[in-house]
Amino acid sequence: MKPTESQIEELLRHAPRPAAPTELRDKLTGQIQLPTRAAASVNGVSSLHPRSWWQRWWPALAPATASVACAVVIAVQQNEIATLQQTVRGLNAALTAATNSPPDKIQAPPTSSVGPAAETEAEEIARLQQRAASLTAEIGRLEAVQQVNAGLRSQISAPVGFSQPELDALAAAKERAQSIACINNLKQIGLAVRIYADDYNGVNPPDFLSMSNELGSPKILFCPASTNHPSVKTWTDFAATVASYEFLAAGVTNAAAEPQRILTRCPIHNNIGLCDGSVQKVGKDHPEWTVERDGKLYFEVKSSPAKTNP
Amino acid sequence: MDDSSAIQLAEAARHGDRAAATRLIELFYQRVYAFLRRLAGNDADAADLTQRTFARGWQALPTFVGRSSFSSWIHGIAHHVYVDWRRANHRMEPRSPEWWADCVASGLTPAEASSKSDLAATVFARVDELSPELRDTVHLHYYQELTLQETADALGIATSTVKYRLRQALTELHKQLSDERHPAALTAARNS
Repeated sequence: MKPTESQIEELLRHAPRPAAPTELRDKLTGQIQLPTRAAASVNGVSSLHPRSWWQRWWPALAPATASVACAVVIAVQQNEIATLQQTVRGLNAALTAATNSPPDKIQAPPTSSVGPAAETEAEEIARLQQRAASLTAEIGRLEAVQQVNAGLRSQISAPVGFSQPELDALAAAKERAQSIACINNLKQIGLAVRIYADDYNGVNPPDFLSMSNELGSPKILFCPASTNHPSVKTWTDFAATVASYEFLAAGVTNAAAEPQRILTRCPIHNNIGLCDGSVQKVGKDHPEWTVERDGKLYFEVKSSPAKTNP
Repeated sequence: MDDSSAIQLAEAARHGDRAAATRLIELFYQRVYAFLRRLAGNDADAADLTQRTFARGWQALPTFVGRSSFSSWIHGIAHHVYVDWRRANHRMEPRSPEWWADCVASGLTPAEASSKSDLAATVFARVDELSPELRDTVHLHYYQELTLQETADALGIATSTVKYRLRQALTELHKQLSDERHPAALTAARNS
């Protein structure tokens, strides 16, 4: 007579236990090497020694210090630029006033009719005209720099290093990766449902929350492409109504007898998990592959879709 | 001995209490030795691996904070020690059905031995022929009497994975034992 699984399990539970040699205990006792108190405190109370504090925090402090230094340098430079701009504006206004003034006031009076004071005034006017010319040249140079800056700003605001076809390819790759992750989620859910059903006489779980032991984490109940993706990290945060996937065979008995029946579905990618554990990538181009009979949804292959193994 | 007491002993040992460490050895060395003896295949290697397990346990004791039971923690270390040893020595999986037969017979009365020992020894030998993942899970859960959660902690996997592996192991064992022909029938077939 061949043993049943329960008989095998019973035999395994009563497997003989080999006895350890008598001298092993003494050897083990003699080899005890307990950690020192300092080592034990590493896991408990944190050390307050300055060196260990520095060793723990330097990876965070070094970039922070560099960032603060950069910010200070930028602030000083901005201040200097503002001062220079103010100076240039003042000189520009002076130049404009000098240019608009009547020529007879700028021109030096005839030397025959004036004394040393008039000569000094003429020298002053010549010096001012020379200064105005240099300032005009400086303004032209600053305008050129301003144009270069505007060009650089426009380059910075655009995405660096990627052309439009490359950006399209990146978006397509991201969507494909999300679809693959979605299929993986549906496969894990299908496996968890089968484990649950094995433990409960072939009855599927009534909802996702009942499978918390089999699923491990509630994160797989959310499609990565979902836009209203909540940050659920534990089962206490999870409410079954917010899951991305539809559970279409909840509480069904002996679902394995209907392998083509749809178990779960992603409304975003239209990927569907079947009761046989496989996942079908139907997409949105083939709604006719989903057939409803007696209030149940079935998957019927019209042509060969992309199918993953159960 | 409950988990909280073992955790308290581990906490005391972590702070240098040698008596607590000795008590932990008394509580767990038989189980650890039995686990490693079944896997390693001979007494000398099992004793050596048991000593390595506890030596590594004392080194890692500051990292034990009681999130899992001490039993699953020390079994996890023993499992890693065994895997490291097997890789380092490039050993084939040691198998000894005769050892299992002797083991089973020594734990039964003569009447029981005649009826049960053959089947039990066959079952235990078939367990050793399972894949390492299934075999280690069966050893920890059934032979070492760890709970599902403790087995998962010791192997570093999810509880659902432990349940899946146990079911797969039982299914494979049942299939192998059902496919086996009776020894008498095998002899007749060989003579014909």
